[in-house]
Amino acid sequence: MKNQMLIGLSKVNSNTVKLVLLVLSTILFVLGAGAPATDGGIGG
Amino acid sequence: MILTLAVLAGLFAGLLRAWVYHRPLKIVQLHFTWLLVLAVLVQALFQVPGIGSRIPLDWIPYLQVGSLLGLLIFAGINFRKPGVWALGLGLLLNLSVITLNGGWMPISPQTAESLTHISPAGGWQIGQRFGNSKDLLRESDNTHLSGLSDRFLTPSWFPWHSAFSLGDLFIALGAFLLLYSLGAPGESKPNVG
Repeated sequence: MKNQMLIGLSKVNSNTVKLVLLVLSTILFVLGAGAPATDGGIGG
Repeated sequence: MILTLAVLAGLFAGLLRAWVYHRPLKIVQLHFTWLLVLAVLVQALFQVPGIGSRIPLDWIPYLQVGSLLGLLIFAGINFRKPGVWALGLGLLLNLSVITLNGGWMPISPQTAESLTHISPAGGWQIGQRFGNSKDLLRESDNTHLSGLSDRFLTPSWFPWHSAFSLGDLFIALGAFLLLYSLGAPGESKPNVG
């Protein structure tokens, strides 16, 4: 039971890490590849 | 900010899609993320206030094109992932117009004026860098592929005012599709026996 909980917990953590990495990667890509100019003069 | 909004919208839509259909999240794993980080770090060198002003202007076109080429390789490696076709296409459009215009994204004085409400006579000069951005002031007549430059403006009612390119639109679409795929159905397992 304890092992199952640990496996479940590690799976949740692993998925969370993967999700955060995917979102961060997407943000990095759009900031790097996109070229919008704002009224402050910086893209985003 | 408009591109960051596309990321947030895609994330929200993807999570909502998974929740509505009671699906586990289908998290895409991108390869060669170190290349992505490296390419963006190069750009951060000349876009972050304080650091960017110390980089000679002559270096920036090389850094910019080199960084975009790195991102293009990254998109090529991950081409089969959802939405990456749109990310890659948008990047290719931006890379084309930037490369053909001396390593800078062109923005016309008229667009810059509409964006900042500073008239060219008092503020913007042709050949001037637009803040810390990737943009350089250039007359539309002297711009190669001017249709791909930062020529579109967000509507006046929109809280974040930006000038963006056609390539940026595809990049926004790609970011949305990539994160919307979080709620996509899983791959069906083949029936055995």
